[in-house]
Order: sequence, then C-alpha cells, then structure tokens
Amino acid sequence: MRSYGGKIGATEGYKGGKGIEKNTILFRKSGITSSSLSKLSEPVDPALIAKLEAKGWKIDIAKPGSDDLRWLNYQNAEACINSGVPKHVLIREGATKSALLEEILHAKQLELGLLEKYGSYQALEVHVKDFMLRHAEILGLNNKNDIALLQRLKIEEINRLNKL
Amino acid sequence: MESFKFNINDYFKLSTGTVALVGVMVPGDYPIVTSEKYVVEIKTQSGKSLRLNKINEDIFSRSEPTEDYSRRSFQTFEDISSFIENMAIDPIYLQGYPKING
Repeated sequence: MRSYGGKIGATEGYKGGKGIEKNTILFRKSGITSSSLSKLSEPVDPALIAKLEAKGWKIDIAKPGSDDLRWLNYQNAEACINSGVPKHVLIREGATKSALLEEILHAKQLELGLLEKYGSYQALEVHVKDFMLRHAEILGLNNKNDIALLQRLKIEEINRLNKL
Repeated sequence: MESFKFNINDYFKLSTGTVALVGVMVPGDYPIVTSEKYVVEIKTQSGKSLRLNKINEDIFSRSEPTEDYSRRSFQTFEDISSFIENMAIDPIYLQGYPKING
C-alpha cells in the first residue's frame, strides 16, 4: 500500500538493502518528503490499466463521496489491495503508476507466501520497495521522481520496521 | 489458544462487494485471523450474533501509528447490514477462536 506519509507496522524479517544511511542524510538535507515527491511522480496510464485488466486484474478508481475513497482516506493510502478479493486494486484518481504496480506486487507477495517468510506486513512493505528499485527498468519506472519517491518510501518503511 | 474480541469502530461498504470493518483487537498481539483457521462471529452488545464463514483480516490495513498492532481491519462478503446499520445504538464486535484442526 502506498501511504502518503506514514504507517507504523510490525517487527522482523526483511531488513532492506544497502546505502540507507547515506540516502537518509541526503533526503533530510534537501527537505524532500514522500508527499512532495508523490506529486511529481508519473500518474497511472490508462494503457497500463487496460493491460492489467486483460490479465484478469480489476482496477477500480475511487469515486468522490464513495466509501472506496473514504477507505483510502482512512488508510492514508493512494492505492490498496485487500485480501478478500483476488486480483483487485483500488486506486485514487490521479494515483501514481508506481503505487498501482506496488499493489500488484503486494498481491504477488501474498501468493508466494512471503508474509510467512518475512514475518510481518511491514517487512513486505520494505521488500516491495526494494524489489521495485532493483527492477525499475523492467517495471517501466523510468521517471527520476518515481525512483526518488521509492527510495524515500523505502527508507521510511525501514525506519518503521526498525522502531519495532 | 485464547479467543479474540475485535471491537468495531467503523465500516466501509466497498465497490468490490465487501464490507471493511475497522476497530481494535483484544489482545493486541493476536495472530492474523482468516476464516480458514478461525471461527468468527459478529455480535451485538444486545446479544444478536451471526457466524461469518467468509471473513479475512486485511493485513495491509494495520496502518495507523500505534504502540502495538491492536488497530486492525477485516473484510467480509457476507450480508451484515442488520448489524452495521444499527451499530451507533447497539455496538458490534467480532469474536473468534481457532478451529480445532485449523
């Protein structure tokens, strides 16, 4: 799930990649936040939604005034999957491409049993961002702001993981 | 293993057909609940109850900053309208325990 600012979660398992301290210092100095980076990231392309739907995914865009939007607001999230409905993603209008891809990958994590392997959903949050950064080219994430946002979010998720 | 009680604070009728229930889990460190492994009932304070055969915890919804994991969320496909629509006057909660062979 792509949160705008903060989620605090669970405990152990996946510990993230290298170079975190250096990146944290860079972000602190620049005053960049995940929220400001999110506004600069590439929005979801309708062609990507069509491709995913052709592969059996259902992508719903939350309508104003709906419980869908209230749900995303409650979770402070740009997009989310839920465990009750396979291959379904709920997104905000204007959500970023990386947020949508992240949800697809979260579903894959659950399918592969990575929750049991890494021990907590917070560890899955770190893992998915790390995976996306390592495979950015394959995922078509070639916008520098997307990459910067993912790096930022990965650091935030690692910090949450380490606090617990 | 002990049973749990999940006090429901709010609900969301999602376009997927599920109802998302949010609230506070007691005990806060209770394991992830699925209908495959747990018997789960929705109950009202006044005594009405219904066993839910299709309910799962939404693990990515343990999202808000808390000291522990007690704020959690469940989603169900079952018709629980008669419970949630009156929750302001008759509070509702989930109660459950592990299935013996779960």
